[in-house]
Amino acid sequence: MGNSFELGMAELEKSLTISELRECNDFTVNYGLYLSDTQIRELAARRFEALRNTGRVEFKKGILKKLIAEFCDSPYITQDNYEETIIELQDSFYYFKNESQDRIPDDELISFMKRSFDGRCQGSLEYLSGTTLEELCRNTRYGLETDGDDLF
Amino acid sequence: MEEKCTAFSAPILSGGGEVLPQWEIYEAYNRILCLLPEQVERYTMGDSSSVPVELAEELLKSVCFTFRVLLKSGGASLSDLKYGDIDEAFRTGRAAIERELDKGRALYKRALESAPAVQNISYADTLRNLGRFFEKYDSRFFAHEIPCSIDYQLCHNLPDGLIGVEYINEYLRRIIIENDFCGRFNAGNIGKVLRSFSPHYKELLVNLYEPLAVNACGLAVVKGDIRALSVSEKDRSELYNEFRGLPRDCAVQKLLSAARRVCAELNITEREEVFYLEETARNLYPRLAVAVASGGLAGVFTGEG
Repeated sequence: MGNSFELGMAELEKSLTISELRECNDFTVNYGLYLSDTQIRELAARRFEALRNTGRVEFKKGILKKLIAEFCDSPYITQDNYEETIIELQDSFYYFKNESQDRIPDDELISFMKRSFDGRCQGSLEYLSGTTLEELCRNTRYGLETDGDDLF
Repeated sequence: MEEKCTAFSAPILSGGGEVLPQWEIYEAYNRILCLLPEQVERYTMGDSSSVPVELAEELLKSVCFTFRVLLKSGGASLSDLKYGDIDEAFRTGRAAIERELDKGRALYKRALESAPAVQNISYADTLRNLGRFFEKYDSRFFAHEIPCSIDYQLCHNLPDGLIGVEYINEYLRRIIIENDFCGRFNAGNIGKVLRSFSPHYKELLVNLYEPLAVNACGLAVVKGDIRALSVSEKDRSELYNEFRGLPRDCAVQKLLSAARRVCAELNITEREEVFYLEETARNLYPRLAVAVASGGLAGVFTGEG
């Protein structure tokens, strides 16, 4: 009984994510970005995979809409790499929530990711997760200065 | 949610009290589960949409514990949880926990006031730490936790399944019973018995009540001076003769009668205190049987000589 209920909850959350992602197309289209139904389903599925891989649980709305809203105006994101970039950003987000011991609020982490992605990382996801976010989380854990505002 | 949340948290709902049918628990549990997203949001103060699974589990355990306290207090029935306003029930549950906390504070005050004038490091540390429980206890998010360390061993262990404020209140009830018993004796006499029990009793993790209770029961058997507490060599010899060759049931009955005599002599009338001493006397039998078989009672009844 418990399991069927939890599966039902998961399905409900998945459908919520899908409808949210469809709404995102309304504003991303202004930046030449659009997600097809297949891509939307893939992104929603990857959300749960990312949560499972990082040992986290999420209720109600996820962070995909926030990520898309923040990153859609990035000069380094095009229709060709849009889906792939959002998937990687989502994975990095949950990973670094853990690494920062949940000390960085969602909005601040997303905002930092965007500043670094457009700034120091120049659109490199590897640089973002390999150096910049590592540094941020290390500094957060040690209570050091974390505001790396380095827009070029 | 992860499957293990169900496995961990549902028993909390039914634990520590009456046994409820499994399917009824899960029906109520499914509704309780709906409260978790709000609890997560309150905990993160809206800063984070996700939390580690371990944290979600702890928050869920706390919610389940809150309902358990509510059910045990009679503030709601299981059908209220299944069909009623679950948010309202949760608020009532939190109020029930606050009432338990108030009871706990009063018990803690009594425990401090009744503490015997005997030096023992673990006893003193534990009493101090119990006070910290009331400062650190988080009834909103981690009501099932016991945020303090308890080293001192009571004479009778607490039943399994007690957690959070329920555990602390039961621990305090028992320590008060032990304190009250110790408080009926002269501090000098207590010191003598404990020194004969172990010269290093001040530093060791020993229970202060048990050696006194055992000696008092022994003295009651040989009609000695219970208040003096000390069992002499002559008393031990008499006790040996009393219990040698005695069948188990007769020996236990003799010990229980002795416990009742102790209560009468010391004017112990509270039902819980009488029962506690009777349990101590009943639990004494295995040690006594081994000591009688080995030919001496010096390790059971202590004192000068």
